[in-house]
Amino acid sequence: MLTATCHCGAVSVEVPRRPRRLTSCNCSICRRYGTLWAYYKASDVRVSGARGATRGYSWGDKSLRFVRCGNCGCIMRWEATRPTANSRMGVNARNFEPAAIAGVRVRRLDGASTWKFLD
Amino acid sequence: MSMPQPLHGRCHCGNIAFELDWPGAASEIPARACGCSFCVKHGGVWTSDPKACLVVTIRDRRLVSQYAFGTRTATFHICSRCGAVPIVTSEIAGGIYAVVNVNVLENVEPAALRRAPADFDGEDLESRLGRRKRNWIPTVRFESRPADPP
Repeated sequence: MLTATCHCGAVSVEVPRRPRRLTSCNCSICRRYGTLWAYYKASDVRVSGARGATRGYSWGDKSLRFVRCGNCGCIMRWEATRPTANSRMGVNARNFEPAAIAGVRVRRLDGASTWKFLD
Repeated sequence: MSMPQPLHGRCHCGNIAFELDWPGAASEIPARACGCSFCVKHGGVWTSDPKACLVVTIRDRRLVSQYAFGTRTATFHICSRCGAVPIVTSEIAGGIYAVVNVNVLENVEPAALRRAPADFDGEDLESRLGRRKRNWIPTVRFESRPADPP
């Protein structure tokens, strides 16, 4: 089990295991957020924080919502705006303890144009 | 190849935008991946130059939140619509100094960024403010811009 916590501690996300791989994407939103994504089945992720502690942002076709702490702004996860039983969730691995993900392979995704891995 | 002038940056939704006049004909810009607790979580990578000039344009000031921690001498300006953090400012002896987030630049090729880790842990307050005064952007202007029509 691993816990990702925002800077001020108001919001956290618990995942069942260390990610095997991380994704660094260069699309317009991920590059601005500086995120490093670990993917899980949404139902395996436990999210905690006080009611109203988070803010969401969606754009374009609005199929995903990026959720962050409303206080310190740390990007915590993305989730499907219309979740199904098999929906996935992206958890921002920047909020794990750095030592917990040291050595995990990071793949660079060209989300800005080809949607293929660059490495 | 020299940089386009000025450099443009903005948050994802465009509420916070900036123009950065960079001195001379730079062919690359330094990009400091800060190792502090905030920047590690935000993947924050910053640039500045003591001869640069920054104009920040904000559409809706109500949609900008500010965050500070530790010595509380640096203010992170967060777009409260999209969550991007385009700039950090520090008020030193009545002046405003700034760094900008290279992750939000729009007209710079990623290859032009000279990335390097930066760790300022253990620095005392006086040295910290002195370093910012020497290295951060010393000319910073905030402007308001009317919102685009819906």
